[in-house]
Amino acid sequence: MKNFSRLGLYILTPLFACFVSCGGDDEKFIEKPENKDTIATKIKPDISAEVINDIIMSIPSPLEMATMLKDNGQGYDANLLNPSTNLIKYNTNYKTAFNIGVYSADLGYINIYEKTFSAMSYLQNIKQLGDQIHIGQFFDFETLKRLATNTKNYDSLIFISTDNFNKMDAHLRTQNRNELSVLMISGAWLEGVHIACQVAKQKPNKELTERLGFEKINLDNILVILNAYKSDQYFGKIVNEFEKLKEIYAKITISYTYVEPETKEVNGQLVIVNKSKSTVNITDEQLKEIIAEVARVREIMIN
Amino acid sequence: MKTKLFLGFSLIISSCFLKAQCVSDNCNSKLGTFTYLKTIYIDNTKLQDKPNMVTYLFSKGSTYMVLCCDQAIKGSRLIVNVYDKEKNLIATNKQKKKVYPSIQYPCSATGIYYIESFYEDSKDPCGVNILGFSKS
Repeated sequence: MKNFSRLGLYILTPLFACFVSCGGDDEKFIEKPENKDTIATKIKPDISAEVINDIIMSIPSPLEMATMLKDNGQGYDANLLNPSTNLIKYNTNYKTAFNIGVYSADLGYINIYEKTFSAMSYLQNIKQLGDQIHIGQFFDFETLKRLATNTKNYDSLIFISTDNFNKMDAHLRTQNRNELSVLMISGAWLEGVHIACQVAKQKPNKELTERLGFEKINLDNILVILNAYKSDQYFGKIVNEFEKLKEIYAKITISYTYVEPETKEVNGQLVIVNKSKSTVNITDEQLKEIIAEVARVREIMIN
Repeated sequence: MKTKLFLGFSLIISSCFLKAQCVSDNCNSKLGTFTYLKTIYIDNTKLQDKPNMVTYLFSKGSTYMVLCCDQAIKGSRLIVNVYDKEKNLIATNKQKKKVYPSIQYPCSATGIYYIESFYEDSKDPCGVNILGFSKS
C-alpha cells in the first residue's frame, strides 16, 4: 500500500504540475472527438501544410475593410449581410466551415459599426456552427454575449471575437483539419469583399476602388490553398467559381516601387517613414464586373 | 530520501512549465488605439539563425503596429524585422543599440510583407508578437 501511494505520488505530482502550468484558455475545454463525417471528408492537399499555414496567416482580417468603410463615412447596412436565418442551410462540414467565415466577417462589420442588436444573432450562429464542427469551445459565447449587451465594451468585443476566430482557425490546423480552416478563411474573405463591393456599387470612391483592385493579391493566394484540395468535389466547385473571378482580375495590373524608408522616434515609439509606392490599374468597367461576379459567387456559397 | 528527490525533481519540472507561461497575449492592451489583428507565437527555439517568419498583406492607408510582448530582459528580447515582397528591409525594432518594444508602420504600398521575429539570445526566451492596425 505504501509503495502504491508512493507510485501515485510519482505519477500525480508531475501531472499536477503540468495541469497547473498549462491551464491556458484553450485547455479549459475538452476536445470533442471528430464524427465519422469529419473523418470521411479528409483529403490530402497537393501542397505542404507549411505553405497552407503561411497563406492563411497572410490573408487580412475583414475588420480592416469594414474599418475603412466606416472611416470613409459609409453608413451601416444590414441588408449587405448573410441573413442569420440561412443557418439551417449549412448541414455539411464544408458548408459549415465556409459560412463560419462568412458570419465572422459579418460580425466584424456589425462590431465596427457597434450594432448590438444584430450582433447577438450572428454570435449565436457562429457558436452553433462552431459546435457542428467541434470548434465551438473556442468561441466564448457567454463573454461575447455579455460584451455585446454593454455598448461601452466594443473594443473588447472586437478583440475577443477576432481572437476566438483565430483560435478556431489555429485549432483546426493543429488537428490537421486544414481543409476546414481554408474554407473559413475563404468565406471570411469573400464576405468582406462582397460588403465592400456593394458599398462601391452604391457610392463608388477612389480609395475603395483601389482597395478592391488590390484584392487580386488575396484572391491569388486563396486560390492556391483552395486548389490544393480541388480533387474533392466541393473544393472543385469553389475553385471553378473563384477562377471566374480571377479571370476578371487578370486584366488588372499592380505595380510596386521600392524607396528606402526612414525611421523616427515619436513619443518614445519607433515609427517608420515609408516612401515606397504601389499602384493598381483598374477601370470602372472592371470594377463593375468584379462587383457582379463577387455577388454571383457569394450567392452560390451562402445558399 | 528517494521520494524527496523525486518531489524536488517534479518541482523543477513544474517551474519549467510555469516559466514557459512567462507571457501571454494579454499584452494586447498595449495596442492602445490600434485594433487587434493577430498574435504571432514565437517558440523559444527561434534565434537569429532560425527565425520565425510569417507573411501578411498590408494595405496602404492603414498604419500597422507590431508589438513585441517579451520579458524585456536583455538577452531575451524579441527582434522584429519587416521586409517587403522583394525582401527589402522596411523596418526593424533594433536601432543601433536600442531595442524598441514596438514598430509602427504607416503603409504606403499595398502588398505582401514578411514579418521576421527572433530572440536576441537564448537567455530564457519567451514571447509573442501582436499585430494591430489603425486607419492612417
